[in-house]
Amino acid sequence: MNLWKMELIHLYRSWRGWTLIGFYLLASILAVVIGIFIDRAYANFSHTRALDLYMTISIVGLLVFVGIVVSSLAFDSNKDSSIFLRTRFTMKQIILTKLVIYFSFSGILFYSGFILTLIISMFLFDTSDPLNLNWVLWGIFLELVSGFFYVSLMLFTSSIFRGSVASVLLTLAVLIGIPIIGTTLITVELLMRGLMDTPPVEWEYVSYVGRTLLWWPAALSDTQAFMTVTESEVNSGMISFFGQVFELDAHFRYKPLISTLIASPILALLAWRRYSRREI
Amino acid sequence: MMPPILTLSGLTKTFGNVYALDSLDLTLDSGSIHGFVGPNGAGKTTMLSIVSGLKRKTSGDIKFSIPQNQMMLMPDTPDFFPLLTAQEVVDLARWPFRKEVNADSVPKILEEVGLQDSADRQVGGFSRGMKQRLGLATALIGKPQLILLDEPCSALDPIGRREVLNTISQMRGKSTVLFSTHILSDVEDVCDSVTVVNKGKALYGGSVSGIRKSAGQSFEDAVLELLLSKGNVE
Repeated sequence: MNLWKMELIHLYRSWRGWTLIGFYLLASILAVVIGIFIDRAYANFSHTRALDLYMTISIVGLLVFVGIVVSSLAFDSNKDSSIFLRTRFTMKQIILTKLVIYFSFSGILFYSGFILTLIISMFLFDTSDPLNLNWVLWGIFLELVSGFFYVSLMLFTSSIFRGSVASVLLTLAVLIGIPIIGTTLITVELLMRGLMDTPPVEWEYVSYVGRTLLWWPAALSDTQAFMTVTESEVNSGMISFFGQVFELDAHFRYKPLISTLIASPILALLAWRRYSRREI
Repeated sequence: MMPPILTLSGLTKTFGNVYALDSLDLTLDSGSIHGFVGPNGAGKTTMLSIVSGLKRKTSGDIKFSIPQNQMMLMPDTPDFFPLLTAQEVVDLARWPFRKEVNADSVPKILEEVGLQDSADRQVGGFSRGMKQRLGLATALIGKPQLILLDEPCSALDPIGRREVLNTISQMRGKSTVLFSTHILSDVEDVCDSVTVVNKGKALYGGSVSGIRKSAGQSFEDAVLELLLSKGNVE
């Protein structure tokens, strides 16, 4: 028995691991089922649109994952079990094990669901416009970089409070609250400036708040759009994702990429400082 | 002569204006069983937490003559990941010492603390007394040279208490035990030396028999007299 096995047992002898598997599997099934209905109604439903649907629905799994990881990182909330760990293992061993296990697990589940959806969709839906592998790989790479920000952010928010509930709430408030507040502020700003007729896709260029929010590292996750780029989109130079049309540009979201590369190590260091100095 | 395994000099810990430990001195001889006695809030747990590195001292010196990993703490209400079985918990506690202690020691230590029949049960369903026995097993599995026990018998029934005290007695000469409690008879039964502490200050440090002021005085009376004198207890 070691820390790795302990964390895996923590996942698989409880609802945590199975619920996460269930959410990603459900996202894959729902993407295909919704695709079947759309295909029946309008025909020519592309298999890459099913992948778009999968990525949209799997956000629910991501939120559950955030709750599970953050509560696991709040191991000091139970002082007595924390003493058991801390007197036998270093803080580095405890935290690294949790991060590697949980983020590998989440990655495996997300990409398994992605591949499952892709395979089923290829049999059921229109495959005349195939995925462009180069863009898919670029999308996966940026998704991994984006993951580092989420790791650091969750580590940081978990280090602020000892209690798991407070840590989970703070993390969700940051992850969900900032985009909601940002969108509200953009709307208010555009209303005040009389620019409400601006198409939503241009908000981030027209609004000052929108332009500022582009520096928020989480905006890098918009590059998920690259994971479903098709050959025809490469030829046209435009991509469609979540109902919005963007210019296909490798520098799309370079601002959050810069802020992610700066903010992630800082957040991780601050978290490490708090964890290593915490008394129990 | 063996050097003391642990020496505390002027150990002080404050929480705001409150002194949890106030210039505490303590010397632990190798292989001995030392009782650390005091009422609730005397600073017993704080001292053990500082020695085991879970809390930082405000001032004072702590000197060990053993490597840090040769010390193990058992908290007063040990708790574990509820989904692990007792055997898995002890095996996890063995992991840092896996080169010196093989896996065969796990069932043996569970038998020693009386948990052999519950080895495959998940610890989430354990009573407080069973967790205390399991805590003792996890503290002993690595065969540490210094064992810090924080009120190890507080949740045990009389038979369990006797078994645990016997286990502690058997460690004499093999390991050094620092044993915090407010059950005075336990100290008298198993300890070689004792420190009586109140409000973070050591009132007495020495042999168990040396605290008695007369031959007829019981250990319990001697400790109570010490605590009640000089306005030590409010």
